[in-house]
Amino acid sequence: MPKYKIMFAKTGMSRFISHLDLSRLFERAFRRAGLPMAFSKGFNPHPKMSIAAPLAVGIAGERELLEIELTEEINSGEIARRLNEKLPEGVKVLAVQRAGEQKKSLMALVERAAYRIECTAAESVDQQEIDQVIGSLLNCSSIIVQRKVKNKIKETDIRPGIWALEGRVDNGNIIIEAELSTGNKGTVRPEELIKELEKAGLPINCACCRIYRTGLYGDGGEGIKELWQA
Amino acid sequence: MRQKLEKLLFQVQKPARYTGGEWNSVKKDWDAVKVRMAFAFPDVYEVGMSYLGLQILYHLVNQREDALMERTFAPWTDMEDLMRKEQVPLFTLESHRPVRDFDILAFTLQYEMTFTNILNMLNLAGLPLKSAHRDKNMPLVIAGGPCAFNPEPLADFIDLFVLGEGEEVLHELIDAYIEARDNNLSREQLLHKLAGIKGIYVPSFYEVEYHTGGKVKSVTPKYSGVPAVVNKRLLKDVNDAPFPTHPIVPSIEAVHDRVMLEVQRGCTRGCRFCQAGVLYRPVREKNPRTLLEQAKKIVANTGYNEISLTSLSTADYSGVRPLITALLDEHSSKGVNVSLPSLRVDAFSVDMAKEVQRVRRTTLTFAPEAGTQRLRDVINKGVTEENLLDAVTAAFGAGWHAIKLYFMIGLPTETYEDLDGIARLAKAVVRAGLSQGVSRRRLKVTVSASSFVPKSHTAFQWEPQDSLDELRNKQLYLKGKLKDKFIAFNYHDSRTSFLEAVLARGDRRLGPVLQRAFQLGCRFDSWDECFEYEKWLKAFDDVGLDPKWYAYQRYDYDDVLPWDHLNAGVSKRYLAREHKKAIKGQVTADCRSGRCPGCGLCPSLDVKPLLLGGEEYAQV
Repeated sequence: MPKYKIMFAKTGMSRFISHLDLSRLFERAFRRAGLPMAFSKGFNPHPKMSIAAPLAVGIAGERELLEIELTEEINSGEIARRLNEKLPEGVKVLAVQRAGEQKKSLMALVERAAYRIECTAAESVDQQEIDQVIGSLLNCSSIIVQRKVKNKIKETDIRPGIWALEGRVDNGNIIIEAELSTGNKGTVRPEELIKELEKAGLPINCACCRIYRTGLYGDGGEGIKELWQA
Repeated sequence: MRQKLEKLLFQVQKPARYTGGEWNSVKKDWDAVKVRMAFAFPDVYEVGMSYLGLQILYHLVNQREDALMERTFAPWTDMEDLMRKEQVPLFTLESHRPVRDFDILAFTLQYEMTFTNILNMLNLAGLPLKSAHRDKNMPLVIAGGPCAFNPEPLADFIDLFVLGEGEEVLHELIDAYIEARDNNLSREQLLHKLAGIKGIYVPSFYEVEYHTGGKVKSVTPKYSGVPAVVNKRLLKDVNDAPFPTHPIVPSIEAVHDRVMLEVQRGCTRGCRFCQAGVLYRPVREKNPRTLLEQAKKIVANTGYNEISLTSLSTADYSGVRPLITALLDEHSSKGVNVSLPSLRVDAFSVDMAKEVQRVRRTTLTFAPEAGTQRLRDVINKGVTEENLLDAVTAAFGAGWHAIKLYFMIGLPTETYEDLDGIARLAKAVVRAGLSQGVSRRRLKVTVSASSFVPKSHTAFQWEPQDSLDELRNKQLYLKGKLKDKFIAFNYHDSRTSFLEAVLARGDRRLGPVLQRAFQLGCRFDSWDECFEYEKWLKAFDDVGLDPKWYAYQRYDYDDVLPWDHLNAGVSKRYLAREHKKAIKGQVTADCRSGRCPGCGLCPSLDVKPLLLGGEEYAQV
């Protein structure tokens, strides 16, 4: 049955919707839009749909991906149009394409995610200072953070999961752009990175940053590229 | 407000409880309407959004050109703390406006243990708690729902109560509000005007006198034009009643997150402990064609994957089987399932079990309520052990492996033999499962035992509740009896049931207790993680009242009850007769059977039961 790849944005107040609730939200939107979902077999059939990578509550997504199987071929543009008529505030389909016959799911392919983090600068700061802080952080051979896993504190090195990191000043805000590991092989959370930047001397308050995920990357056989194209 | 709110949302659990913006939520132009109402549900979002009444009234008010309705819920404690710290007042989800900017603030009273949340919400809204301290520049605070039939503990805080079904009276109330405001009436004048509308009870217009022993002596209107008895409102026919075909679809999972298709209103069974059975009388069935049409629209407009046939005793609906078949034929190919809430065991059959599991199998729930035939006769739950075993055998045979059984403990006349009966029944159900070949790994029988709470307007309204110790002993006894690897036993904190009993049969003197409990920090009393019994006891102590007096009071038939002036239609004489029959273990026929039990509702409220095919049963 035909499979489709859907790129969507989850912004505004809808960024507070959790991953599980978002799956439910899409299932309902498909049904409202009259798009015929394919279902799994068994006692509790559920739609053959998966969101590429869970997004933490509170983080906005600008180019998120989901995959779905329908029972009939429908024009991509029409899927996008019909879904957008039935999605609530803040969730919007940006593009739809017919997915190829690759075996691996998007979820299995995701390796990295790009983020934009907007922080209010606590004091004025120039480009050079930002570059210095970022440079010193990247020069560390390891960056150990503590994570709570099932009520236990576990130490993790996030340095290998930082693939790109840049910063700039924009209108009194500090904008951080980063590419971080995400998925089965390990994940670096953007909040962890911000905390480290704050520790390294960047004048920001990490509790007041707005985080946007701007893209998902993976290797579909031709090296790492944006999953939408992979 | 929105920016301030966003900041808080990063710091709370489940922030989507407070964001609004759900599919089918309605944002109307604030300045284009004459009346702005806020519907307040005194519990968290996930509970409130599961309430069909909210969807009905939201739809009803927002369809008016001159009015709007927005929603507000009790913020969870983490959010409340932040709101107080950051000085964010209680707000609505649609426009994120402060609740105090609205004209009417309407609470629903589903459960006594939400009462402290009501006070907390008034306080968070920046409003004085007491009705007497609010004027016409503040919202008119109204309340409806089942607990409005004995709202006396809330009499100090709520301006008026609406008794019965709100579909018609709410329009009358809004019209009267607009007219009063156009004429610049004071709050007092407005209340006088509203007290003249049938079904509206303005508590401050009544004088309550007490006997020296504490019982109520009289409740009398203070002014002419104020009715001595307020009758409930109801719809004669529910087929043409406004039903929301565009219900709001919550963005986070609600407790009941599915299409709620109301197949009928009212229940004819006459279980003697059941308040809803009295409050929602008479039975009025909806036409299956109307239901199929509504279901089609709601599925299309919501995208839900489940249609729940809701009502008090759904399996009693005359057309239930063809309705289920027709719904499944129409919707199952889209992955849409049909479910039934808890079932009476005698109305169930193999066929129905097979029908409802065509798409997705959910747990089946049966409510035998008591463990022996004797006690089931006392409560007039006319089902037999054979009914139950036939039904569960059918269900196991059709592929179910998990069954839930609801019971009540502490019912009038109960003995330990009745508790043994619960254990025996549960084990018989397990045996039925095993004999039907259910895998030993998956077979599960969940037994839930709630504690009986005597409620107003029922045949047991005169009865005391079992003492706390007695209830605890019974719970432990059952726990011991139900040690079985296939059985899971659930029961609630009996202290909650005790306070529920105090409030359910309470009078106005409990107002100060509620206020004190709120001041001491009581909220979300129905949530185990928030319930603080010691604070409640302190509140009673500070005010100088004994909660036991209320819960353990045995009333006489000729006592004035605190709710006697609020009429649900069923006569007190009938309830007394039912009570006497209960003690003798005599059953009363279902009014569906054609034998009118003479409850007095039809003549007193000028209605008739409405069954499919236009059948009506005349008075005997």
